[in-house]
Amino acid sequence: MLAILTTIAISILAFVIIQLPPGDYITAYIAQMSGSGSYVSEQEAQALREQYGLNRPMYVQYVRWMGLVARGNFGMALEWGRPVADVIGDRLWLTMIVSLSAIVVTWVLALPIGIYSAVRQYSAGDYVATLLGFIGLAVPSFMLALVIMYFGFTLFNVNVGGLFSPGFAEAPWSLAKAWDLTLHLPLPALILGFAGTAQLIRILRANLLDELRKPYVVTARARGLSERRVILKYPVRVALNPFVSTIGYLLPYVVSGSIIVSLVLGLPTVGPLLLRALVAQDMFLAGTIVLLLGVMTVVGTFLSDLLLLWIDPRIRVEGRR
Amino acid sequence: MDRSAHPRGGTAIATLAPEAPAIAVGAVAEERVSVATQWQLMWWRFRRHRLAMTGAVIVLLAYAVVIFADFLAYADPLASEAQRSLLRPQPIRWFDEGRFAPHVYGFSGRRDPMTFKRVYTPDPAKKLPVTLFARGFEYRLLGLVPTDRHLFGVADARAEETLFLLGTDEQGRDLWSRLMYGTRTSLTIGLVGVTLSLVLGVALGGVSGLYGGTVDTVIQRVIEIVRSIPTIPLWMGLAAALPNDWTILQVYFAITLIISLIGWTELARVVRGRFLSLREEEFIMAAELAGSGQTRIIVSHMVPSFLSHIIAATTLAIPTMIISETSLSFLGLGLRPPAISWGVLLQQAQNIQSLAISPWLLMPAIPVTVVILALNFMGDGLRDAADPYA
Amino acid sequence: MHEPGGGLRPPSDGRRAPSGALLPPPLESEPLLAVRDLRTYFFQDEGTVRAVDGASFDVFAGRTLGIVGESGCGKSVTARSILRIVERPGRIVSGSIVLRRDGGAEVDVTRLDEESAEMRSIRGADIGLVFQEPMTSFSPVHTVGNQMVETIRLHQGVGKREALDRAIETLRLVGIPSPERRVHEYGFQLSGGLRQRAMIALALSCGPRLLIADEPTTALDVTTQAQILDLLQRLQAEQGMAIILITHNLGVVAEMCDEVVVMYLGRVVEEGSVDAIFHAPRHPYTRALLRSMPSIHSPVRTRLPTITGSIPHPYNRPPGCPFHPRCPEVIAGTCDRGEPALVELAPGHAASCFLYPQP
Repeated sequence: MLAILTTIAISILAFVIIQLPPGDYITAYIAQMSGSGSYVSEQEAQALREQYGLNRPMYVQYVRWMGLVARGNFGMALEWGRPVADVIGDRLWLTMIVSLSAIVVTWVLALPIGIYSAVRQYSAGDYVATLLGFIGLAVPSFMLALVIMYFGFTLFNVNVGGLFSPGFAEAPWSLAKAWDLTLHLPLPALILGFAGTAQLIRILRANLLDELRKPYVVTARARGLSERRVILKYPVRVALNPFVSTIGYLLPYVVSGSIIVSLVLGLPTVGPLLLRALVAQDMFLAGTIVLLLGVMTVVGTFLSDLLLLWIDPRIRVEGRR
Repeated sequence: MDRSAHPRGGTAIATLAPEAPAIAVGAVAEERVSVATQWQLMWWRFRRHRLAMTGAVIVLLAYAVVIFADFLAYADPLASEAQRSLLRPQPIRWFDEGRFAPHVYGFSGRRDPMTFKRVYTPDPAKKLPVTLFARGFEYRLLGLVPTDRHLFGVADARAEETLFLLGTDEQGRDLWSRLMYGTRTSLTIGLVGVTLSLVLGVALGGVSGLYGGTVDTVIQRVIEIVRSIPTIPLWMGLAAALPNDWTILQVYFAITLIISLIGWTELARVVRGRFLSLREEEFIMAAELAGSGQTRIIVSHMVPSFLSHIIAATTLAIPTMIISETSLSFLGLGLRPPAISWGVLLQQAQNIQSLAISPWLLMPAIPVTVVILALNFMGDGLRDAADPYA
Repeated sequence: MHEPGGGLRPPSDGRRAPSGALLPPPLESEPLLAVRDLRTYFFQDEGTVRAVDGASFDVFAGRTLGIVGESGCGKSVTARSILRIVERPGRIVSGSIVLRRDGGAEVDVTRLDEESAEMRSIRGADIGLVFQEPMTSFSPVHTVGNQMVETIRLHQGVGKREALDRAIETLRLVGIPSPERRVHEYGFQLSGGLRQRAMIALALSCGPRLLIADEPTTALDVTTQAQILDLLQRLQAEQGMAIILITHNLGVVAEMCDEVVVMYLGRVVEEGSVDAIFHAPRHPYTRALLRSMPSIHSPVRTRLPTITGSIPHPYNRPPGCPFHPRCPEVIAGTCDRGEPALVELAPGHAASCFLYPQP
């Protein structure tokens, strides 16, 4: 329900972005045409405007645009001279793959570190984890990417950017290409997910510390269960719940971050494309990217809500009553 | 025997030696705690949080830089000088043959035989003394007093002969001075942005929490929608749409507005949460029963309760503003030259090849990290201290 | 007591008083649990809290020992010390807790490593614990049955089906209707009284010989309180297990307990049979406690006597006898200097007070 509303909101915002720069599509088209030597007369311009419905009120234009979008027609990318869908191509999927791997990395790291940090509070490991947490909090991901790239370049003479080895970049998809991608994913995923990992570690640690004091943990210990079982089966399970619900908000954050990080690392995702489009005022391209990004994020968030529903029996049971 | 022989407090027990002082302190401390005001309690708790105190000190220093940026800089941040392009940082050397005489090496230019370009290298033979309160470019201290004194500098500096504590950028502008000005811009944007967010957040969150019902549901949905949208692409779009011919000031305010729209949701949630829980509190009900009007209840009863939380949440929101502005400017979509901010400075460091040759361009990353960390520690400490009765 | 074949004992031949009430079995010669000079301290930044400071008492099979005192006197910490689940920064500093296990072997629990297999085999199987907050004592995300089966399988090594059957039997034993259905429910789905019964079932699932009940009825309404107390008495008569009942409610003590230990600021100030304590209290604190109980027999409009002052802050321990600042019979110059020792005043009745001759 909310997902639908959000999607509509995103589409409106994307539409606003498309409309924002002065002039309309036709003006830009004319400018481009005259740049390549052709000349468009006033009447022709007017006729084109009629044809595209650009002299109609805003909401009508919006509806028409949504209609086109629903049919998969995203308009023309001016700078490239090709349909937007072509230009975006793989990049959207790559963006989602990178974002999702960042989230996976975040979880895989945050869970054990967070648990360790809470159980062995004030130990050396806890301080290290807390320190890492603070770094993740304070350093914007693009700066982290810059620093890592710099050290990679100067110390190891390695270019850590890009998602593919030179041979595979333009090649059609194959198993080998997929494997190459997997090999290149860890570093960008780590950089992107670092801030999120730090945040999750802090939240998990705080939640777990709270839960560890609760009576049911003491009862479990009093029944003779091993310490490991006591911790993993009970408080961790309970502390995980708010954890899982944060996936929903992790996704937009990670997708946002990937835009800038891909710029620094030179990843062939949607980020650099969006920036170019915005700078060149290639509005259909930009707006479509925003729209698609937003929609995929909403879908992801929705799926995570379903996941939460499945995991927490309290919600399930109370729903049934 | 009888109770009067043992009054509460430390006097009668003071006759016994070893354990007495501890008990006396304990009892006196208990008394002090029970009459302290909310702000005193909050301050005491905050003070014990060493990390938060360190953070607060750093933040204060940072804002001192904001006020005294001109004084702390020694070179005109906008004066570009091609001859000085991309010079390495010049450390101040403190001792000259055993005497305490801070100085820097001057630069000598010579033609590189291979590229035929003039290359500047530090020349130990030329020693330029560094003095305190040196004269430099003109400015207005605190916006009022015209002066040309700076904290330190090289007297009567010529183009190639001055301090370059952090090196220069591609256009020959001194990075240290630019960093001072950049700090001023970035931190003030943070403050202004957070103020706007606060206004938005308190207004919407307050209305949501106070009135509840449909209004609350609607506002809640709006907040959730905003939170589910990846913000950077949207704000990139908005920022890119700013007309190119706007003045720096107009761009400044537009960017501030945009980034404040990124962070208000968190503040609104905190405010709403506080109002909601406060509404159920019994002391509010007591005030209502005693006949206080709605405004009086809000102002005299509710606000003091959640003020401390709001302060904590606001402090924690400033880093978000700073990171947003830095990111946008880094992309070239936020503030643009000749405006100076951390993001603008870091934009020069985008290219990895040029970065490899001139790594000092990455220096602004340090104050960014340090200030954001400091703000986070301070905000954490404030948040922990905000509930002195908890 | 604790047979390998099944978790629960067959009913004993309960002796009955002329009124028909069940009498406790006669005192065995050897205690099931012997605590001697237990000291458990919490080492914190602000100072050391001496939560238990020299407690000694015995617990016998088939009888109920009550530990009484105001909040913060160390009753719960004592219980946790027995089970070795004291939280950091607390730890047992000295003293011994000797448990007589099945087969007669004695083990000093304080000598065992907290997380050793032997200690863990004592918890749940030899000693069971019931808390005062049934709501938060059950895991919010696991069913009651899940938690019981886990314990049963751990200590008795049976298969899932068998363990589930035993769990259902235990639920039935504590008086929960439709146990086959309830065993698959969550803690929060049960009402207060049922939850506490389930809590007791969880503690009893492996047939422990000692049950420690830490304020089991404090969070319940009066009617449910009575039911739970009845249940505990019935279970004790049927299973012959010992009960340590920790409470601040003297009424409950009078009804349930055979022997009583009165604690104040971590020390045992008086101990004896429930008759001796209630009818011939020797320590000023016990006397003050008993005086402060409202009685339906007192004349109307009399003020309820209270104990002057309040419990000192743990970091502010008074020197000498911990009760002396509030004691109506304090002896200046003596009570604020040394700490009185626990001295036997009559067989089975001891008090620690300077009013009585010290050794």
